[in-house]
Amino acid sequence: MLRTLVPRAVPRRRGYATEASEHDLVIIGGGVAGYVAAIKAGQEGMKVACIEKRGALGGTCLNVGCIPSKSLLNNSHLYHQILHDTKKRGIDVGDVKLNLKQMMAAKNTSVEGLTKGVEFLFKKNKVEYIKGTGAFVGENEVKVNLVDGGEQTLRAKNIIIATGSEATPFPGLTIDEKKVITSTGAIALESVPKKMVVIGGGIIGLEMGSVWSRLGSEVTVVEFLGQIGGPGMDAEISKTTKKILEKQGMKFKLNTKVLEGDASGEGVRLKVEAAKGGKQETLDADVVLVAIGRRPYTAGLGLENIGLEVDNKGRLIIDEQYRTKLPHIRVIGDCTFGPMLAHKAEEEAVACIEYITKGYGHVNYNAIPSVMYTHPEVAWVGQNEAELKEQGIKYKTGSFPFSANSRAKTNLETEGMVKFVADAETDRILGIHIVGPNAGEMIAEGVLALEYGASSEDVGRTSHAHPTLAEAFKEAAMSTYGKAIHY
Amino acid sequence: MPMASFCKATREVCKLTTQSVCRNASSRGFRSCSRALAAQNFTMPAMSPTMTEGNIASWKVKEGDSFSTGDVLLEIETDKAQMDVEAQDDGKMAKIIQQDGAKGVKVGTRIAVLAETDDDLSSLEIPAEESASVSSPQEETASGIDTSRSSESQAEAPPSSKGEETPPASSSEAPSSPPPGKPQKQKYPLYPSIVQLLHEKGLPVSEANKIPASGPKGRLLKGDVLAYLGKISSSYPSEQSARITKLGHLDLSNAKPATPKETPPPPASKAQPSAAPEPEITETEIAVPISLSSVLSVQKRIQTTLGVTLPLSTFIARATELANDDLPHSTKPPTADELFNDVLGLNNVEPGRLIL
Repeated sequence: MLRTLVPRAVPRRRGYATEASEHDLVIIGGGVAGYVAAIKAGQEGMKVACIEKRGALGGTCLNVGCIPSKSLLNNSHLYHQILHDTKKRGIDVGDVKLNLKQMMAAKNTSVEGLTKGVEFLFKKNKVEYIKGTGAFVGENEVKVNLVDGGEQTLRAKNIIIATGSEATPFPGLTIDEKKVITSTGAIALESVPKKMVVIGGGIIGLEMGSVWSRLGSEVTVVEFLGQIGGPGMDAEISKTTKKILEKQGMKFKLNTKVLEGDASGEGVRLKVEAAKGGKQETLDADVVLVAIGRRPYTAGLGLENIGLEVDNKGRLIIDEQYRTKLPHIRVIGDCTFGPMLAHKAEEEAVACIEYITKGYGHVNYNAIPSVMYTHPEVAWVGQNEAELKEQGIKYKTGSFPFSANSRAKTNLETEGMVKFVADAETDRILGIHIVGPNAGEMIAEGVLALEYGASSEDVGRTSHAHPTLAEAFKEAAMSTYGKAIHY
Repeated sequence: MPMASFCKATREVCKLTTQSVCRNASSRGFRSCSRALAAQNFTMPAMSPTMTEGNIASWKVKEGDSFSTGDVLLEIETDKAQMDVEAQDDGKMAKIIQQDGAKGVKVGTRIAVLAETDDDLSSLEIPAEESASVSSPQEETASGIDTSRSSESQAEAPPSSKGEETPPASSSEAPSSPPPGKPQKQKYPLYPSIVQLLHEKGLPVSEANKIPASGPKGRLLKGDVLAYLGKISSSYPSEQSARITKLGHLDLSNAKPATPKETPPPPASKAQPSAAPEPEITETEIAVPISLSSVLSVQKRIQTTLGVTLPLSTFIARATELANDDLPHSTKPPTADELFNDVLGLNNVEPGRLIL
């Protein structure tokens, strides 16, 4: 007789923790802020869970924001270029037809691949992914309404709120994502609208306006301010950008406010007037894109159960270490202060975990770039001329046009320029502003320069490969402390 | 400032404790402060965002005592709780100003003077009290004192030291006249503009180590050299750095809580959801009689044909391996490929291996 010892039967404990087990960290929201924090926490060896209700990770950015819009921007640009910009390059093209369904499918493939990639990283870094809607029931307890039904309560030593933002609706217009759309609807229209009105000439409005304008829509952008691109964009760059976009067929109504909208008919009818008062005008459109900004999203989070406060813009109130008044609860990303940018959220996520595990984290808010992915792209970092004037700081500028750059010339894409703003006394770079081909990639060098406190001369004395667009960057630096060679 | 203490300050710039005296210049992250003295004022810390004053229950160190990181310095009482204040750095108690039992001490008021461990207290200069206006709970973050509650374990998040009522750091940290940067050995390659300037002026490159540096992490900037050469005002580079450092912080100056809306009272104390008992991991032993007659016959056959005696344990080990094939692997972590395939729904991995 022999006793065979069968290995221990280990009950499966897949994913879901029981109520009794406590996490080091629970993150509410699986967007860029939340998922980066979750991965970082996993790498630091914390027992971490991330709650996301969308059914896919990556938040607004990956699912309905940055990523799908870049897919459409890239492919609509290709289409537009093949239609209008091949003859002079020596390419004769036959019939060109738009297959919108396929363009959307390409977008979806990109999105799916990336969100799945995040899910993979969760597994790799041992992050527990909980699909559901989280709400505070206690200072250390989050109750999750699971997507697949049922409930689960998580206890955690630390909690990070990373619930993101949503499009600010326009009062009087009900968003249906068909006729009255936000950016979410703008990346999923089923046909090209004949006429589109964009309320708001900021980055989102101009990017989505560009997509549909290239695909054949007659796009009019209505902006309350006197410039496009939002207040952060340098005025000179904004003006140049507006001219370029106008040449591409977009129409602009600056200093104009929308009084009311009526979507009861077949299309949408908007009543607008000059911001400072003036004669009224009616705009008709098949589709109206509301792109007047985004607001923090904290609905249903149960903040009232634990007494957390938001400010008058809905932002959760934090200190410099992202702590709420309950110090084990921290907030990062769009639902709190600072610019609503995915890369800002990402920086904060890493810093926030480091504050928890190491007591200090680094984010330099003066070196966070902004990029608008129109064609050509617009990118900037640091301060613009208007901001420096307001602070009474003496500065000098230097710029270099792409029309004098050899690579831009050979590419037949010569619109735009690079502009440096540096301190008049020390030559330290205070801001860099670019409109032109590849601006979004080029700005990385500017961010690095700012982070290191470089002067324009330091950039100007650094070798840049020839022939590249980046030479325009170098020459703009040269023209700030001395003279450019090629202009 | 005596030269000795200046050198010391230079050596010790990275110590958190020196920040408490630097906080007029900047609150955090800007550690190269030449005003760092050996002795520092230690002010009443804010133990919670709402705390404005507190009582000193008792000091746990006496004047002249040395303490090390984590030692409890004193106990503070507020209307809500009694809490320990721990030292976050080594040091020595130079002077206790607010004695045991002091009541209603405002946050930010000096309560003691701390020195470095190896300081001679008899010759130590006691710094003047900084104006109370500089104090805000936020700045205690920088004072190097870990205000963890005695009841909380270290693993827990450190308590907040700033609340929404307090003025934001960005508005309080603007220095009227920032301290000039210190000369220091430049560990990184010099920026090209600096090398150029030094050569143009006929100065050796080693001169760079003598120039006060105002850049991030003590880096020497073009402006520093220009100031050193007398081309621009000597204080300008550090003023500029202070301004840019401030821009690097999140602007919380407009953090005003929204006027509270009428909220319905929270539902009557929810009963703690009864926790489902965690499934017990049980060890199961199964005893099954097995006939080894065929094993024995195989063993015998091998012995007669090959002349080798295979021990019985070899057969059992192999049999166990075969039996375990169907069980989940638990020792080896899944590879990246396996994880990714699982995400994509390509189920070529045993599910058991992907248990998180």
